[in-house]
Amino acid sequence: MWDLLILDPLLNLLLVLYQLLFQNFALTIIVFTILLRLLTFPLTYQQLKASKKMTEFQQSDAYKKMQEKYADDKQKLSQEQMKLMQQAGVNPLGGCLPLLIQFPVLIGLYQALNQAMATSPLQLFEMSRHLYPFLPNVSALIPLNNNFFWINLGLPDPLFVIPALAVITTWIQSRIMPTPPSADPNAASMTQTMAFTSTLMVGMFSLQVASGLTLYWIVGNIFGIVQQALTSKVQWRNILSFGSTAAAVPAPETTGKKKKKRNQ
Amino acid sequence: MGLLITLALGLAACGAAPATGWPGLALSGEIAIIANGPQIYALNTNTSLTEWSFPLTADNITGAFYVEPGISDEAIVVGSEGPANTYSGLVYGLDLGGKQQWCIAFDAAGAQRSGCPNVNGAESAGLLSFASRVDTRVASGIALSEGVAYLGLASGQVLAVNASGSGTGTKVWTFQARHSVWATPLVAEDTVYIVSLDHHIYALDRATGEARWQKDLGAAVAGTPALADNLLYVGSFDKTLHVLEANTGEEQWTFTATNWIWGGPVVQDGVVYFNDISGNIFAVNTTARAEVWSKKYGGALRASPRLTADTLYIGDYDGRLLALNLSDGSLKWGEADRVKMTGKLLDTPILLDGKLLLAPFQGDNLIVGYTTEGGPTALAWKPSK
Repeated sequence: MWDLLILDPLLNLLLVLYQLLFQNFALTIIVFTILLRLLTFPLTYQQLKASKKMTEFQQSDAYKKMQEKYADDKQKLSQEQMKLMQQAGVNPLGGCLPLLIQFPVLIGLYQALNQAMATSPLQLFEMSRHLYPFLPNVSALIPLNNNFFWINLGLPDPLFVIPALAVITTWIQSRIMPTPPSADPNAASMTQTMAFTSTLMVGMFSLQVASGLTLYWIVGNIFGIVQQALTSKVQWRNILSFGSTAAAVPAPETTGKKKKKRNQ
Repeated sequence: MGLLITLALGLAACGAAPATGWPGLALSGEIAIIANGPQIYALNTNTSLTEWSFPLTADNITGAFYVEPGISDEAIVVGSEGPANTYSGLVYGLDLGGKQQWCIAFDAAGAQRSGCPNVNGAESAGLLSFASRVDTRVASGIALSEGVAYLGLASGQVLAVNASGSGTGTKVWTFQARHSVWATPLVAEDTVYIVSLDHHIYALDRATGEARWQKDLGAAVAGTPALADNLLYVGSFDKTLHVLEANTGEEQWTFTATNWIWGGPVVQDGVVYFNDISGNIFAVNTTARAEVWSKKYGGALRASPRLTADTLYIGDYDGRLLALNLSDGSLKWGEADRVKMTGKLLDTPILLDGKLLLAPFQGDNLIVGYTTEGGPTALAWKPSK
């Protein structure tokens, strides 16, 4: 079912594009990534909208007042939050669902690229089992031309330019992404750690895998950055800041402080 | 979002290092030599006991072995892809007891890592050599003939290497194809025939490696050609069996299959037998240039068939071992799935004393034996963990 619905269409689309785009695999990866990101744009847009709505909600006076009012009663706070969200038309899962739908497409993309760049007999044999029989002249295209400047797209980049670009674009994307304000310094710190971790992971990953996959990653990042810039206000200065990007929310006073005040 | 995508890619890419090839099987007397991942195993087919393994334990130096070893009366030559993600192949010369006699690398990094001399040393040096990464994984099976090993790399380089006598591990000659060479070279008298994914077949002078002729076949070729009566039979990915004059490469006739022809054809008694990856098996009369029969019984077929006087044996992607009567292509054992095992049969079965040896890919066992009548034998072996 996975192959039928995800892998086969993506792989065959990739080969059709390769045929149309002068048998230039780098160009194919770039166009393929942009096309796929455009196709999933409605989902991404929904996710961005939901995320923005949540940010606005968390910055609203009603939310802040509620935080202060129920600071001592987490259960009540949670109940009231839900009520307030319902009234404001905010769905706490609104940002996650579109992402989850994109998840299989991303994995399918990775698999399709990996198979199309077949550098071993096993990969090519597996690929041959996923080709649509009606695609014309596929056999003449094999093996795909993996050369792109100094890079063999089927191998890691020996000059580390592609991994460096992947790290830079991943970092930029993670820093310009709007993060819901958090009163909890631990949550803000976790967000920052996640940004670092994901950037590091991408760096490590791109040193090991075929440059073609990393190129896909870079194009996806650039698309994400442009998309972000077009759909919401981007804090570009965050790129060079290594602190939290989350907007500060006044922290509700702790129980201890309140007790202290009462005693005064 | 970024983290989730990273996680997605991580999930897709991580896990145990995936196998990059299927097991390569060859025979040294009654010893089956199996190249599978980090080690080469020598298995006594009578006792099912492991005679030796190379290296003794899996290490991070020799890398992954998948290609068919080259075997002669005095030496075994095995080729590796090098450690994961290095794309830096190595070749080892072993004695029949599995002891390393010599080794070679094909680039500076591989030489440094393994301690094996770089046979391309002087050629790969240069001011800009750091900028280009060459995939030197050993990609073809190894043909060992009269003390010389012939092999092809993923880079398209073809080498002849001294494998026995004096000067073992030294390069005799090298030839550069335009793309990867996956098929075991065919050595015939004074010529070595090479096919490549670059769509060409090359006839090389066996002594010097110089190209006598080359021919564009219009699509990639990954199966070793067959030579009979001065004609070369070679299948390509454009569904075509090409028949060429062996001295000149001039095309005599062609036959069209239904899908890519991957496994090399086999010629016997004036009939050429071959298969395509859709699972079709063809018998074509070489004189009449006409189909004798064609059959489809099982799943995808990658390997070449193995022939006896009256039977064609082949394994399919679904793990079925098929036996066909050569005369009409009918199934010898009745039901197509009479012999079905776990794993995928991607390599050609080997015949030994009335036994068929198979090395299923991703099966429960690394090597299994069947009688030529389709009955099980006691041979079912996998490496101990």
